[in-house]
Amino acid sequence: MKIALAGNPNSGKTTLFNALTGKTAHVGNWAGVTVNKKEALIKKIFNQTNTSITAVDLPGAYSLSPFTSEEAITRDFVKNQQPEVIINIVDATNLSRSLFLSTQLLELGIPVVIALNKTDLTQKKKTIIDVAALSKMLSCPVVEIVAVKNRGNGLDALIEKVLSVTEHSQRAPFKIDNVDLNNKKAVKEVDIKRFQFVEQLVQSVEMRQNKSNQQTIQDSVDRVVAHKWLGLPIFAFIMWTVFSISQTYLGPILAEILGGWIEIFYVFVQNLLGNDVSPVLSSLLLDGIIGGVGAVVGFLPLIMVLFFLLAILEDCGYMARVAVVMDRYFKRVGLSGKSIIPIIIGTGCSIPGIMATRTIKNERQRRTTAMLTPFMPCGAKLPVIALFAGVFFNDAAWVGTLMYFMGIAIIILGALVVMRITGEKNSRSFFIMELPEYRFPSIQRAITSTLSRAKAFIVKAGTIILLCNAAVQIMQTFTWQFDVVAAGEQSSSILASVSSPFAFFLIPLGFGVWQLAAAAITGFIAKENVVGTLAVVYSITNFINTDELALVSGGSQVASIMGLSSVAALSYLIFNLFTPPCFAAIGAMNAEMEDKKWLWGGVAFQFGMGYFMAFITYQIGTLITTGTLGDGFIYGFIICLLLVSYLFYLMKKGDKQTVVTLKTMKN
Amino acid sequence: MLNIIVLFVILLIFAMAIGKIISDKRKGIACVGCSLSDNCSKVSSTFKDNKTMQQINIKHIE
Repeated sequence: MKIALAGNPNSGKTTLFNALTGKTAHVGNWAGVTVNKKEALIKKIFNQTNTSITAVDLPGAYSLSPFTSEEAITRDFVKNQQPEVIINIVDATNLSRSLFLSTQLLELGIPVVIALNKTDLTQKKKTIIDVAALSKMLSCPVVEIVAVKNRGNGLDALIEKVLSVTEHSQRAPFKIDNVDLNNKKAVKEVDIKRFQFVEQLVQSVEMRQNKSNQQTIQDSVDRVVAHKWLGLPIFAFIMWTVFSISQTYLGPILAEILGGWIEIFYVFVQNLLGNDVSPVLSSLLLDGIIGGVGAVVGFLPLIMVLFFLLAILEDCGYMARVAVVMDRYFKRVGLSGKSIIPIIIGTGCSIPGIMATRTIKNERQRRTTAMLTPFMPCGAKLPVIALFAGVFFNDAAWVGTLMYFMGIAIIILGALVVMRITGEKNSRSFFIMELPEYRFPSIQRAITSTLSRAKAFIVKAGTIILLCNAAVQIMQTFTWQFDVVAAGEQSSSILASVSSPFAFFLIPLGFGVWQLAAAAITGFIAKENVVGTLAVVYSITNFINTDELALVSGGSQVASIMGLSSVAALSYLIFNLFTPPCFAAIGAMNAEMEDKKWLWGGVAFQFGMGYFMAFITYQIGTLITTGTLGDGFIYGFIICLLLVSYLFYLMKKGDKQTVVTLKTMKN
Repeated sequence: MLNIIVLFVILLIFAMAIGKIISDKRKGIACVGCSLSDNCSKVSSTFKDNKTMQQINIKHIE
């Protein structure tokens, strides 16, 4: 038996889906988080029958005559797949808007059960809904639920109703036959009639204490946090606070505890092996596997604290305000207002961020957003940020905050360049987004989300990162003749000879040594590899241990092992963050762009941008701190000049195209 | 003897790591261990449907 969960965006469909199935699909307190349908079996505690029930979570839709691709998925499913029952999740705080879709669902003839969600909020607002009258007027059962609650949430009663209506035929309280969907006027007339019907219905079942034209506390808060001038500094301050807690205060304390356990395990295995084991095998197990993976896993507490705080921000409704703040800047550079959603999702992982670009209708905007989303520092980049902030910048929170805002600045700059190249510099877009109510964030949901990400991080560290570190360790141990590299002769290793040609191009960026080049290369497989590889090539098993490496006092020991100045370290960090993220993200870009020219252009742009930003940072930083330019300035300058000139050439070409288009339009 | 045991342990760790990657790929999970990956792996097939729907929508709106 198949039941569909359908409703408006941000009505709580995925929260209900998770509660019914025990899954941990990503939920967010804003519209547009679900862009794809998800299926899972309903838990046995809700379904005592022998029939298995599959719940299908559909993307949010305001109507069945869709204007977005997510709405099309919903329409397509309920019309063509014919689920046995539809659970229509209705936001009780916004009845008049939600019931528009309900009346359309009731017209399909499939039994509908209305789940009146967020009834806890209506009680707080002293809004009374006559559920029995609503059920009678809509000719379908209506069950009050609070999907976010663990107990007394009404889900048992909901499934009971679902099972009781399976054989019933559904009557439609509002039905209009034979509307030509291609006739805009006819569709509009029907929509007006439907709205009138819904308005009358709501007036007879709902009693509100607060009128919608009254200014609420939420409106006052929104005036400040989504203000055109204050919005951005407030966002910067919040991100700085998030980084302070995760990377300067709470995160390192927890990381030190975990680091201690990793070190105890390392020493335990070291003692177990003793001196009788071959040094090659011993170093592969200790430095390659335990040391490399341990160095990456050591950052897990910092990442968990950061994700926990970001989940709290999302759940309380703040991230939707960030979308409004950023829209102002994005639409000026030809991006869709919808572009901010993939970019914010990209702070967790670039891949779902790139996926979320599907909701953007304009092809150029969609491809541009998919190309630029990876510039946001994702979860995999956080260990790299934490490592460099800890070692070179005294665990300063500004490093992470700066990287986030540099990411946003590069996205805006990139969008501007792409807009000029594609010859659409006069394009403008409009973005309408429903702002969810502020609510007290659910600690349980934030913990679930954090644990799910932590699990993914550990599994990745134990598989891909482990294998990469082992490969790096083997390549570092042997020469091309497969002889063991002699002490102090590391530059004769396979790894050194493979990385050295790349290191040559990195000299103008301040880190032209094979070890750092090797770490940057493995970072293209997965960004956590940068930390793992650095641990292996410099034989540093535990970056977090502050006693051993004195990270709190500036990490001078690690810094001296790496032989980097603070400016070169910042340049290395920027290079790793703003060059292509990983192969999986490039694969996602390929799927979303569906155009090889755009894909390779995007990858080249990411390489060029990362190289250019690192070059500028190192050379200007060195000039300011030492009074002279850094190494390799001349040929680095030539490379950057060629990159910039080529971009300007493409932009000029795009401008000419714009002029031709405008002339054609005038004629 | 100890060397053989250590080598065996290392090979076992590698086999487990590779096994997990292969099993996740077979399940259609694009990124090993990722809980969101289940949705990501459906991207290509759903995307094609979406694109068709998008074209219909765009035509409808026009």
